[in-house]
Amino acid sequence: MRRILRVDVAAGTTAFEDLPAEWTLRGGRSLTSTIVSNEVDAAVDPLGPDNKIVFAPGLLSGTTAPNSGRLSVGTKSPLTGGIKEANSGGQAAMRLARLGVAAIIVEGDPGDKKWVLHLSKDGARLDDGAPYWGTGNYECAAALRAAYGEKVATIQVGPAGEMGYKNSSVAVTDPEGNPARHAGRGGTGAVMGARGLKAIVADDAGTERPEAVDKERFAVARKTLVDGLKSHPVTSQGLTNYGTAILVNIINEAGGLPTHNFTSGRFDGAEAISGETVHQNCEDRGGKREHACMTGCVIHCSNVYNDKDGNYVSSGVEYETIWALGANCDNADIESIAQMDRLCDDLGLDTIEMGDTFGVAMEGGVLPWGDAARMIELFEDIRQGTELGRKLANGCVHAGAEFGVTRVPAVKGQGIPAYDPRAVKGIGVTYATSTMGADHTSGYAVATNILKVGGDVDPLASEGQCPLSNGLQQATVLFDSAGLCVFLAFAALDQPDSLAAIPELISAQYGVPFGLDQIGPYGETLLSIERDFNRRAGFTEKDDRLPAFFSTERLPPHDVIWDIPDSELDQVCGWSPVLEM
Amino acid sequence: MIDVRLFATLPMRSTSGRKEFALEPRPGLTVGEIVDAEGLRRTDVHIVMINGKHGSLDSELDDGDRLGLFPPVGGG
Ligand code: SF4
Repeated sequence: MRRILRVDVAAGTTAFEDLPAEWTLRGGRSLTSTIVSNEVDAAVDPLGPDNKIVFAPGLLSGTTAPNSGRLSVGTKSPLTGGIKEANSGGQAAMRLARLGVAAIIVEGDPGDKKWVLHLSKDGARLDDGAPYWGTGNYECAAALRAAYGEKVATIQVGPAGEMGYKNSSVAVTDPEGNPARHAGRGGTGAVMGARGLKAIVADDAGTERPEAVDKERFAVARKTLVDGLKSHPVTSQGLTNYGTAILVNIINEAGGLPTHNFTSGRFDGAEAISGETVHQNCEDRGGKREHACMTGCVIHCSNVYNDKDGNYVSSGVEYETIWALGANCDNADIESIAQMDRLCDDLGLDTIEMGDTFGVAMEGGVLPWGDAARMIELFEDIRQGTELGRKLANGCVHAGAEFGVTRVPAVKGQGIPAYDPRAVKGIGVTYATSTMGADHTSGYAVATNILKVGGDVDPLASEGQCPLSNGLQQATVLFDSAGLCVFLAFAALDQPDSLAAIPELISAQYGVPFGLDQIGPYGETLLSIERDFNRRAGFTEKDDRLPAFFSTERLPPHDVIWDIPDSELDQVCGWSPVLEM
Repeated sequence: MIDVRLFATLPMRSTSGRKEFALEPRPGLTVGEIVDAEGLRRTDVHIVMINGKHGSLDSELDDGDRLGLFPPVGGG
């Protein structure tokens, strides 16, 4: 029986509610976005007392479905001012699912109180969070384990979220207990911090897996999907051997690696920060070149990065981070990138937004290009909350205003990730039209544009990109709602059986009809709810645009501009009637 | 000269083990022939980039071209 846990941080109380029957197929993103849309006035101040933050495991989390432990975090975003769902790997979602929790809604004005929410088979309660307040994510995770048991999974906010920075993440612990997985984007950490909630501790001792209504069908579909993942070359070899960092070289070759704050698509230092280099360093220094961010992952795209002396630095030095703090800032020093990844994880900062911010700050002359030592120093300013630190910790749009820089790579207030939209136009459509602001994960057209998975659409042509992005955005809603790692899509896009297995798993788990033909409508319904929220928050079609400089400045080496017509974007954006859920 | 770069697992699978090398151009030289000459199976190569644009095993190469060869990779 899935239930909703409502947490009132003003009164210090918790109460379980039944999940409404009509929400049986709502989970992860589709549940957080539905709840945020229903319960949060779109006009509220995201950091004020009326905003809520919602945590939801996916529909398949806690089951034996592969890679199914994504946790969705939903709220009104302090960074974009629109609806937000950021999701993360780690152990927490499966623990919550085993505890029968479909969603946790955190609301109320905590005043000066600080809380830790504890969940176990015996129920939920709020404990005093004051002893943990002010600690970095690593120290906090260790202290929570010491207090609540080695096996608990935790969901935490770091100092950035406590201080209300608009660039702040929600951290989730991985199988080793490291707070290295993050619902990074959109400033969810600041909303959690504003609720006075330092952490959620999930202890699933004595619980069972959520059982499928139709166990046989579930087992068959699960096997189909696992076999598909183990046979597709990307999910069985590419991602497993090299992780996401392998993209550095290919996106660089394709001329789409944003360099020097989006002025070039090629970075001279690419090899030094490439997946091949990371792979070698992980191997040579006693780290791990294969690591699973959650139990039940069959792909293992993560890694464990050690320093030259063999000491743990960070877990999952990933492509986006390497790009953000590397190429975008003209920094070819991989050790400094790993160190900054650790600092971001500890403070609870999104690495993508941080890299965009540093790029803008470098363009504004705040620090020299490529000065990794200075970048590292500035994290201390952010931790201390100095004037400069605050200018750097509220996202790239804020930094642009502070430093007088107009070339700011952002959509709806959120920094653009690691693919230049001029050279990878499909992902540009996703950046422009996503309900989340510039977000590559919400419709990963890079797969089809560059990686030749799920078809082949020329990245430099404008034709075909809108339908591509639209279809991917719809399908991604299902992945985000099922709690599935979106990397399953690399297999599912090429293998019809693997794709069909996903709705089949959901259908078998819940004993309701759900098939392939419902993926599109399911996604569209949810996107309509998110767009409706954004409209009520004041967004118009003008917010579904890339910054003007992409249409005027040519990007080397292909000398291309952003040229997808606004009218085509507006068809994707669905400035159309809202559907009923 | 033609600038050839092999990425990810490809250098380990090739006979020479080279990651990057320059090749004398000759008329009609195709990507597939270079793959063969390096001792790679054609099916090992999933993505062909010529001067930053997607090509195929049948693409012909000219003097000054930059060729990148990749196995299946993913990420995001
Ligand atoms: S593929 Fe990577 S991101 Fe996905 S579940 Fe596995 S380790 Fe986590």
